[in-house]
Amino acid sequence: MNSILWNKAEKTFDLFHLHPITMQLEQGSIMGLIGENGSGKTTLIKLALNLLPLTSGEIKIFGLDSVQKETEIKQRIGFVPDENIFYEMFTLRDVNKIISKLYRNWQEKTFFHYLERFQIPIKEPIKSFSMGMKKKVAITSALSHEAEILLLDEPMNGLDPVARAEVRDILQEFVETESHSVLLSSHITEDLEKISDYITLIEKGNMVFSENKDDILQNYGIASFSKMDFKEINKKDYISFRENAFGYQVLVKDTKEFLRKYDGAMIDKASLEEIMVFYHRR
Amino acid sequence: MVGLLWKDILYLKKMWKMVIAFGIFFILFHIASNNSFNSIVFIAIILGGNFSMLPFTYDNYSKWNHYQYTFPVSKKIVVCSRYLFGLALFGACLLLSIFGMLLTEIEYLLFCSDVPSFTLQYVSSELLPVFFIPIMQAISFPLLYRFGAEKGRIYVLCLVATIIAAISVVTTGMGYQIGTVSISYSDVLVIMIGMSILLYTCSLLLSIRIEQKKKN
Amino acid sequence: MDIIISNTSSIPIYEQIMGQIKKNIMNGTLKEGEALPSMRTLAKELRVSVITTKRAYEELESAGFIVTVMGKGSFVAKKNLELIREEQYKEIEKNLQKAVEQSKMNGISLQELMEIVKIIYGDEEHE
Repeated sequence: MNSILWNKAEKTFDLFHLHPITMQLEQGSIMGLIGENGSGKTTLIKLALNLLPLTSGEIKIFGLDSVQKETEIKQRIGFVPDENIFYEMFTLRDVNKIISKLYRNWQEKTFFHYLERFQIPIKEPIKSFSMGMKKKVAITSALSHEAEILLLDEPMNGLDPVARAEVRDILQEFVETESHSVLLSSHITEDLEKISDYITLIEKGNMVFSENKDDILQNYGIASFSKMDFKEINKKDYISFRENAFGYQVLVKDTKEFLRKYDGAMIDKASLEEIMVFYHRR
Repeated sequence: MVGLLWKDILYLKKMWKMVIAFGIFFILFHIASNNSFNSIVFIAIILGGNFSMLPFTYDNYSKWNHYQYTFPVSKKIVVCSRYLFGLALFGACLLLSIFGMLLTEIEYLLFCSDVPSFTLQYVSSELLPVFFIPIMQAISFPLLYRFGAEKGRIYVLCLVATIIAAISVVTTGMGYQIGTVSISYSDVLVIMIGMSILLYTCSLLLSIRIEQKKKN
Repeated sequence: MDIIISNTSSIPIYEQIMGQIKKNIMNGTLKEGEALPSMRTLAKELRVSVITTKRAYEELESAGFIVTVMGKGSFVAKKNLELIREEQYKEIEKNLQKAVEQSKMNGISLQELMEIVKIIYGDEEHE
């Protein structure tokens, strides 16, 4: 069952092209979106929210068309942007007053409960908050109107490890309800390795893969070779290579297959970060 | 819509110092003006209209503009709430005017024997200037929507300056005497009210059109 | 209940989970009709994706070890564990058959074969 379905969603800008992407965010799951800045991650999210019009293709959220039923859908989505969007002079009491009228199912109790949990003062203006606190405010707002989908754009930026652990917990709690799902884009791949069910890698406007995190981490590998041995390796058998003073490293998509072919090769598990970097070098 | 309205109202509330200053200034000018038509109009337009533009500027500054459509609001609602805000501002100015008028009465009562009676003409002349506010809003809002807060503001000020200059030329240069022969103050008021409603409504529809046409 | 998985093993994680749960059922840690942790909870605790735990549970269900009830969770099957044991014996017999045949073919005595089995079994326990 899909929370969000991108069906050949495409977006052309003057300087950038997001190629038609088909992927889905499944109910009850957390999807991590990785890719370098400018790869198209944020565009994907903005397209889903109809902040940008599609060049072609369609997006369905809760089975409804993302453009036709825009306002209906947004009642049920919580979005956490990369920056603070509320007037800096407002206090959280003010914010509560404003947003409570925007959402049908606004839960004031939940809002203040999370603020208390995060230890954020409700009478101080937002401009006195640290970056981390502003992030937490955004996350709290997204959680307080009975949203079924959370879309988070770099939510971990500016959060210390303790706060990040808290956010991870909250997100996992959120998807314990089967109908809920989470999509988050993040540069902090360790967080994604910990809580994601799916990982999608976007590279230069293309979707490289959208898979089960465990399969990815299990199958991909980094193989190391001497300069001599590297020459023997068929280009088709690896994604890209990296040279250092003492040898070569390659990213391999299927470790088992690779070992079958190149018996005895030195292979280590690849982290998401390494996978991302090697794909960039492709 | 109400949420967005609250945002603008709360913003103005935060700017309370400015608002109070304006209020006092408005009243004082009203009392001291000796019915100097042009200057009152000038003040009403500049200050009343200016406050209407402030939320545009702040929306732009705080990135609210960029992300407001992540909330379940349509472009129509966004624009309508801003116009509602303008209307609320105008309502407040109208009340202030009436208050100013009453204060003038009290002033006259205390210091003069010559109290102008509350004729229709008198009231009309006092309330006339306030109706320039919705007209100015009607002109400025679409410009702000079309050209953005920064550029738009400049265009608005230029346009308003031109209009004021034109009015000044018309009323003084032609020696046009209101309240004597052809048209009474109350008639002008009725025309103003009619124009305000018409322009405001057309402006609203135009702004909605402009906002909906935006690709972002 | 212990479920120990290794990220560095070459055995797919879902298979590891299956193996661990089967073990717990076989040695009685998990009783008949007892509820298993939800897929989501297990995923969270083991730091794996819910797809993986889901797959493990699905495969366990088709093998007859557990039963999943929509909205309620997964439970150890009330099925006859003896039958399952028998199935496993059959599997093992099949594999041993191969080993025995190969030994005979290469002149490896029963005793030598037993030694090999002992060593392999011994390794398992030390791991």
